[in-house]
Amino acid sequence: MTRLKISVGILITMTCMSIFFGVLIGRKCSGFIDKAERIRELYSDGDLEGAYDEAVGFESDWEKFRGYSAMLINNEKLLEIERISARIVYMTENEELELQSEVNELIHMLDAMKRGEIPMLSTIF
Amino acid sequence: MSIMFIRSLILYVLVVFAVRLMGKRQLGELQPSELVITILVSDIATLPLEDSNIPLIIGVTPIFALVCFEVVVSCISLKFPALRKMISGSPKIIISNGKIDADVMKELRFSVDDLLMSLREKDIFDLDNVQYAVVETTGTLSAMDKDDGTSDPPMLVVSDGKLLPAAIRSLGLEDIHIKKILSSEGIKLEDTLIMTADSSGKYFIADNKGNSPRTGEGKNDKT
Repeated sequence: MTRLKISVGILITMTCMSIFFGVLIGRKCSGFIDKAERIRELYSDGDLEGAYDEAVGFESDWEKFRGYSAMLINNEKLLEIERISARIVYMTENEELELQSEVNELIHMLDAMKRGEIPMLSTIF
Repeated sequence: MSIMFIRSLILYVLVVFAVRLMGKRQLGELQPSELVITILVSDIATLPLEDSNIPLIIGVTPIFALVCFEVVVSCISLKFPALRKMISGSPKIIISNGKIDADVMKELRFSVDDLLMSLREKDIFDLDNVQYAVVETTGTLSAMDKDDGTSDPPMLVVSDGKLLPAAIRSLGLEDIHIKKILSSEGIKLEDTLIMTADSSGKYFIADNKGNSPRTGEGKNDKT
C-alpha cells in the first residue's frame, strides 16, 4: 500500500509539474515571440536604434531564461535560439537586409518550442 | 566529465529507488509487463548519460512514470483478475495426470525439446515420472513428480472472492458445488481469499479476515 501511495504521489507531482512547466514555457515563449515581432516592426519602420535596443534586451532576457529552462528543454534548441538572437543584435547594429528572415526563423523556432510543450496529437505521436 | 559523473550518481540513486519502488517481485522472475518496464528503464536511463544536452529530468520523468504506472496497474490487477490475466497471462497446464497436452504445447509454441529441457532443469529425465507440469506466466516450467502423489495438485478455484469457472470445470465440478462447500464452512464467497481443490475432493480455504485456513473433503458435495 505504501508503494501505491508513493507511486500515486509521484504521478500527481509529475502531472502538476508538467502542466506548470508547460504553461511557464508557453508564456515565456509567447513573450519572446512578441519581442521578436516588435524588433521586426521597429526595423521595418526605420527605427534602427529602437530595434537594436529591443534585440539587446531580447538577448539578455533569453540568457536568463536559458539558465533555468536548460533543466527542462534540450540545450541544443536553446543554444540555437541564442545564436540567432546574437546574430539579430549584430544585424540591427549593421543594418543588414537579412534581418527579417532571421527574425522569422527565430519566431518559427520559438513557436515550435511553445507547441512542443502542449500535448496534442501531432506532438504526442 | 564531472557533469557526467554527477549525473551518473543521481541516475544510479533514482533508478535504484525506482526498482525498489516496483518491489521484490521485480527482483525474482519477471512478469511480461515487468520485463517490458525493465528493458525500457535500462534504455531510457542511458539517454541523459550519453548526451549532456538532454536535461536529466527528461530521462528521469519517463522512468518514474513507467514504474509508477506499473505499481498502480499491478495494484488494480489485484482487484480485477481479468485485468491480471490480460497483462500477465495465465499458467498453462502442459502435462496433466501424466498426459501431455499437445494443444497447449502448440498454443505456447513449446517444442518437445523445450519441454524436455525444462524438465531436465528440474532434474526430471524421464517423462514417465511426470504427474503434472505447468508453464507459469513467467515462462518457467513447474513440474510434479509421480512420486509426490498419484493425483494432480490442487487447483485454485476461488481467488479474491471470485469463482474461477475454468478451473472448477476441469475438476469436474460446478460453481454450485464450490458455493455449497463454502456455505458449509460458514464462509461467504466475497470473503474468500483463496480456495483450492483437487480431483479427489480435498479442499483448502483461506478467508481475507485472517482466520485459520479450513481444509476438508468435499466429495460428498458433488453428488
